[in-house]
Amino acid sequence: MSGYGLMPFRFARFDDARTIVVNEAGEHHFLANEDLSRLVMHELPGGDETFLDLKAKHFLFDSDSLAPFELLATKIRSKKAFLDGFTSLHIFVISLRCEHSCHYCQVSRVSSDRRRYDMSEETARRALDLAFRSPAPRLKIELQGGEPLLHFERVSQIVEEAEHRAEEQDREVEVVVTSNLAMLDDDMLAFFRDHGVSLSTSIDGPEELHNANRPRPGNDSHAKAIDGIRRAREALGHDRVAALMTATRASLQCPEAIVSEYVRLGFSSIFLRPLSPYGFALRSVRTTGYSMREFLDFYVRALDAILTVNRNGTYLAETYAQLLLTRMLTPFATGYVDLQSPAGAGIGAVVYNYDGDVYASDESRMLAEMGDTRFRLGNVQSDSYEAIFGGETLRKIVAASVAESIPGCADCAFLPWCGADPVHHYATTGDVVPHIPGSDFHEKNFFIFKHLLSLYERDPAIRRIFWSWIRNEAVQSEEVA
Amino acid sequence: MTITIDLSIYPLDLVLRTCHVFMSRCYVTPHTVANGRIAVEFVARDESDSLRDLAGAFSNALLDARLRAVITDETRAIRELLVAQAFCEADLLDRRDIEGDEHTDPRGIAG
Repeated sequence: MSGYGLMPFRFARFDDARTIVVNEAGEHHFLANEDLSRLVMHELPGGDETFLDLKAKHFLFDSDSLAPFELLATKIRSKKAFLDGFTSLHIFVISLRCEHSCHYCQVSRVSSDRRRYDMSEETARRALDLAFRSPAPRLKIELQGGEPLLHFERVSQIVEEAEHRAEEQDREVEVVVTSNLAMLDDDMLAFFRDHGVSLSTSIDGPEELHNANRPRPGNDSHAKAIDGIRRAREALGHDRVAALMTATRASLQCPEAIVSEYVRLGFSSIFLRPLSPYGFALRSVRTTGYSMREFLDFYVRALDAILTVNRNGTYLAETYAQLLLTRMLTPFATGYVDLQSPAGAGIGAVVYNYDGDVYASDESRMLAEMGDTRFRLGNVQSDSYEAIFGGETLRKIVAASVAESIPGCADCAFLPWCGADPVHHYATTGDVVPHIPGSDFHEKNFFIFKHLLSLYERDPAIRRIFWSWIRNEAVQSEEVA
Repeated sequence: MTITIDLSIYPLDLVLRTCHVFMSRCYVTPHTVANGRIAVEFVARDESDSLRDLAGAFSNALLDARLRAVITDETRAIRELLVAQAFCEADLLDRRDIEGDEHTDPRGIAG
């Protein structure tokens, strides 16, 4: 062939002088603005460095060989590998009971003495039947609440039965219990140790902030969580206990203190999460809420503090950045049900509520608790696997979440790294298809993509820190100082 | 403020796409005018917004939309081939029609 042909790509003006181009497999390149026009008009000279870079990254081709197309197709398949195996994360809501009354809680809490909100033995067994029908080679079972340790009898039943079924089917199963750790006793810890169970908890920051966000009788949530983390690490191993934070309005004032608390507690990661627009979080938005712009200012400050920690020789990854950077800089797929195309609701993760109702996501369950059951897929007692996972409700959710066909997303340069969350869009706008201009979901992700790229481009030390997060291994402090 | 656009340079779908992008920044209304031209009217959401800047940004966005259309047209066939090749080994068929019969009525046609 003479000259060159274009491979499919999208672009966005990055700053006054540069444009970013991103191809179907998520590889990116920065161009001078005038080079974009020259590229599209077939005016780039063949020996030019820009030409060679674009050829190497599959933005153009200059021969009749099929090899570049086959290679790019393989990369696209790798990027969508999260679709392989269907539903791998199965979330069990053991009980709605909880002794905390967190202002931002997504779940409907009920006082801890109302056992009618506990999952029954039969419901747990039927839910396990469905989970083990999933073709995913590796299953992850997450036990949450409310507070699951208030109904430990069901926790132990599910762990033991899952273990037994996994052995019978020669499959891998990982179990994680999400708990505030306040009710954790030594017998529970021994059980978790014997069955290889991991724990996930919440640490919102220093004691005063944490206790303000997460009230409980005695106002001692932070002390209980810290004590639980210490004992769990001793019993299970340091890395078997993870923590998450949720930012409230009070958190926005002290990102550095929150990061310091995670360092003090010896965590290797911190997940900076905004409030979710569901349940109590929505009802208490006046006291705990803020705009996405305010959250992003907080995110930038917190990320800055995290980078300083890494520069000083302590490994601490920000989980959301770690996830996005892996998508942006490697060919690998990273399943994250809230940000993939199609969304992972139902096909990546599913929720079995205490009463046997099955939901496409925890957020859909919360909407149901608020009276809107449109994302209910069925019930473990009355519906078959085929009806729940092959039914019209799930098909509609998946169809609405293909970002490649959403106005505003289809043209976006960051699409190969991004996704849609129909349940979030419905909760915030009343429509499963997002209205991208003005969408907080778009505002958050577009901003963070650009911010991470700016940092990566600007500073070689930050580049090394980001790669250490992607590889999940610390780098020498002199390399990042 | 109103600008007029030559539809022989920017087809109607590109103009409307660009209007969509600007919806969060201002109120934007397209009107048909004669001789293959369309008028786009901008009304500021906030009094402090400069309509002149908005119209200028809109014109630049139209140019980008035109460039995107050129890329899409040139690469459409390749994109379809790539996606087909990427998923050629996946079993993505809806098997209800293949495995169903008149007794099971998988799509509920019999009511």
